[in-house]
Amino acid sequence: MRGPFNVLLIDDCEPVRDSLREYLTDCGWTARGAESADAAFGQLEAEPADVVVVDLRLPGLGGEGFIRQASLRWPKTRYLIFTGSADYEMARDLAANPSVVGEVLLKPLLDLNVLVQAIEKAMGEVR
Amino acid sequence: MSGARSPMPLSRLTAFFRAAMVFWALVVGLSFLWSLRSGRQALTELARREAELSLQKDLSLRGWVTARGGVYVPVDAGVGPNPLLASHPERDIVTPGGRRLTLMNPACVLRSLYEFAHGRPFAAHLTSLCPVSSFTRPDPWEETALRRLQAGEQAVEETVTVEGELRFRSMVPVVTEGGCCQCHDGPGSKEGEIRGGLSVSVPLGAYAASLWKQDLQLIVSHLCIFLLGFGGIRWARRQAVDHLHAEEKAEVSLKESEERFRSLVETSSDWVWEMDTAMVYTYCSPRVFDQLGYQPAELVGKPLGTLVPEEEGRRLREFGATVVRERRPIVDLITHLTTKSGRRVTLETNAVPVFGPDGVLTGYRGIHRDVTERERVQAELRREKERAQSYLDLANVMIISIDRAGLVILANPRACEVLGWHRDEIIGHNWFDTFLPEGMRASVRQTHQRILAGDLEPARYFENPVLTRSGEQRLIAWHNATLRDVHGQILGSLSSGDDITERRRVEDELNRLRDLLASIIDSMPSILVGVDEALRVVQWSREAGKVAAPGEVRGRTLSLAFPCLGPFVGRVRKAIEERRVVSEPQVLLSYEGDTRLADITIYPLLGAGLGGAVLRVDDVTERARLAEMMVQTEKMMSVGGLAAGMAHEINNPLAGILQSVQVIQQRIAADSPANLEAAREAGVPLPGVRAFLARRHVDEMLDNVREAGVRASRIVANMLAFARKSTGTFTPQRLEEVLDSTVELIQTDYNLSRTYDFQQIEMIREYQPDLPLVPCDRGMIQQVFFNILKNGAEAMWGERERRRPCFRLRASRAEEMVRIDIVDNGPGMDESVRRRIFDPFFTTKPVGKGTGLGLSVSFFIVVRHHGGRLTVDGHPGQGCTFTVELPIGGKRE
Repeated sequence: MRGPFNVLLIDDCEPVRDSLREYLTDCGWTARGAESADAAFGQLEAEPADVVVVDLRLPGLGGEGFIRQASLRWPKTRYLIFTGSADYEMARDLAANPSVVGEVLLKPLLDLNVLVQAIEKAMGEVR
Repeated sequence: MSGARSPMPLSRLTAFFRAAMVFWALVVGLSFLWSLRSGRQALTELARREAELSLQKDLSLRGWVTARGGVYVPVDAGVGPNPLLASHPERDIVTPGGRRLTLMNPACVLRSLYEFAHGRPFAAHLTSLCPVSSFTRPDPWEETALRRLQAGEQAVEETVTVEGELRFRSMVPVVTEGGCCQCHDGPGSKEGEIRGGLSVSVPLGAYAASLWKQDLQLIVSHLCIFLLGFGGIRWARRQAVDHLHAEEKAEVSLKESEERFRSLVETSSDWVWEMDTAMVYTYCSPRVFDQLGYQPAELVGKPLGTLVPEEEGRRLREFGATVVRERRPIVDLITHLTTKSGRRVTLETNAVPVFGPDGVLTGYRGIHRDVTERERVQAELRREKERAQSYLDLANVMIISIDRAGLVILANPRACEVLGWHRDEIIGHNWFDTFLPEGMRASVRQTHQRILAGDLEPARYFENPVLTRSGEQRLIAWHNATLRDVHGQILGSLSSGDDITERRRVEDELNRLRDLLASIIDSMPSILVGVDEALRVVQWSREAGKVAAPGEVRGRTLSLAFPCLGPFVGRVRKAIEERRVVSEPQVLLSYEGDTRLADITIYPLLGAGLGGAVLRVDDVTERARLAEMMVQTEKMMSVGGLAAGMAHEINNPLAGILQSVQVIQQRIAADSPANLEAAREAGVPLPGVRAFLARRHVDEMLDNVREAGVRASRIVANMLAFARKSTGTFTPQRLEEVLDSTVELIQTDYNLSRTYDFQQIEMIREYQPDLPLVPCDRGMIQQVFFNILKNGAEAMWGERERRRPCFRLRASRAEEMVRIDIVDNGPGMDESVRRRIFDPFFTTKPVGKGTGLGLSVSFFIVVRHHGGRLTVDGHPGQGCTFTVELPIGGKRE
């Protein structure tokens, strides 16, 4: 399924968050950013998103904790993990969670189109 | 036998019989001839009679004619007037009937008759030396006969063969008679004068045939008579010759016999004697002197019992009287005498009664034999036997003798005791069937057969169980010998048996215990060596045997038997002296060119009466390698943990940089509505912006930023991969890719200690395409490549002034393995280094520069963990080739 999608980006590193938001905007999608889990909750409460791209190392509640809580409140939203930890292995409950996209994207991405395609693919999956 | 007639010598006998033979032949021959002759005579007589009869008839006819003065016969063709009677007046007359008759004289009558009868049998022939006609002409025989008649013979008779026919011929003279002269005149006409001859021929054909038959009978009968006589003579001759031979032989054997008996009597060791009925010696052979020292003359006339002690002598005389009365022979009578020299001798007497021609007992004839020695030997034998019996009875071993049939012929008390049977129940019973367990019978019987065959050697000693009365089996150790008679014939076997049941049980138990202990010791992975106080080896385990010096181990001193333990002799001695355990952890031992790390523990033996010690050597090389690997892995992990954290921190900014560059480049290049809108608002047309950026090389610099970011991200990724915790699980990997990632990583390793600069090293890759994946632990294999590359880089770095360092990396398939060759062009290595390069703690680096474990651990990883091979090849000055081979199918358990 192709977009445009409403995407929320959670990352404490601003260059990453901003460049990604600009790229998705250029693609014609709606993209917002949040620097922490708390900010993300606020954003989602204000307006739910189709997809949330989550960094794992966040100040306060980490990315996994955020997904566990958010997926309860916004189960229709899809959560895609985007992390700099090369040896990350997804926790078992998250892997079993249908809201979570099975594929984990590792930073740095040499081509952001990979992320776009990953989202489009995830949104096309039958839940 | 001087009175016997002297025998006719054989030659005379032969001559006699030859003469008899000739005489007999003569008699028979003469008889034959006489018979033949008389037969012939009878025949001739018969013929003569016939001839005479015939002639007499003719002559009487002639006489009749003569007496009539001739006869008249009618004249016809055959009869004419006889010219010789011409002078006769009435020669020719005519009958009143006119018939002419002429006078025929007697001769003419006969002649006419003969002419008429010519050719018939018994035909007579009138002939004369002066024949009147051709008919009367004599044939040759008649001519001869006529002459003989004229010579004065009365008659001529002969048997001749005429024309193949036997005939009797006879001729009588024809004499002129008175009547003749009435008519005849002239020569030969005087009375009594022989006028001619009358011959007659009698055929003897029929007689000859009968004569021949008669002759044949004669021949046959005489031949038979001759042969009968001949045979008789021959038989008689044979009889005579046989008789002669028998006589000769009898004479010779008689002589021999006489000779033999004389020599027997005179040379016999026995004393031959004769006694009369009063039992008084009448003759003693000279041998008595040898036996008793008395001359025969000294004993003759003495009674039986002389020289015998008084009491015995009396008994002997009584015995003699009884024997004489009963006319019994004396058999094996034993007497004890004293010789002239006072020696006691034992005599054995045998004698037979002698009877005179009238059947009256005249005395006794017999021998005394000196049996002193025999008596002594027999007594000795008896004692010997008793002694042997007592040995048998007392012996504490079983003694059994078995005859050829397998029957027991001897069993001593001990044998009875072991078997549990009474002696009588053993003797005479079959040994094999009665006293052996069933399963043993065949084989023991076979052994017995070999003993009987004299093949004793393999059967001299053997063990087999016997069956006792209670059914129990006892193991007996047998020593066997053969039992032989005086001729050396094997009668059976003689065996002594020792009951070794208990001993064998204890031995077996001991052996079992020893085997158990040995196998306990052998099953230990440690090297165990037991020594006595003098440090001589008394016991060692199988593992210890592997490191022992060649040759005998038992009894050699520790340092000689186990050279690798030589340095610890002092500590062993110390342990024994101080009676405490001495431990030496982590010592380097070298044996067979291999260096091993070992823990040595020396335990003194503290048991009562035991000295010495036991050394335990545990090879801890593997453990040390493992430990080192753990340490290294641990190090890697902590570094890895750090790197992972760092990587995350780096990855975020890198992501920011790379993402931003991508957005920037996109915003410059794309003619998207947003771009166009922004350009318009800024008053700068997009192409202008692009031209400006190109002119100022901004786009190139953006590319550079991007490239640098990409490179940084790869370095981080590699570092993470190398440092990532080993999962212990094997995943399929492309080995050449693992090698490349390791190279990439090590290229970032510059400036660390300046021992090499990997960037300066040329890399030549020769990878075979389409190599299969190999299951392995990627991190570990990276470590292996890392160690090899680092080792090669350091080696080449020292030589970089001389030649440019260069690695040649090859990947290929070798049967069921994928093979990686890492070839450097460094200084290479010599044999001693090459042999030890994978030894733990071996290093060529200065002290403190290397652990000496890098390649050792690599070896461990490749060979032990992955079931692969790690080899090195290289010679001084030619660089080194390290080869890693990993099995495509994974490690084989």
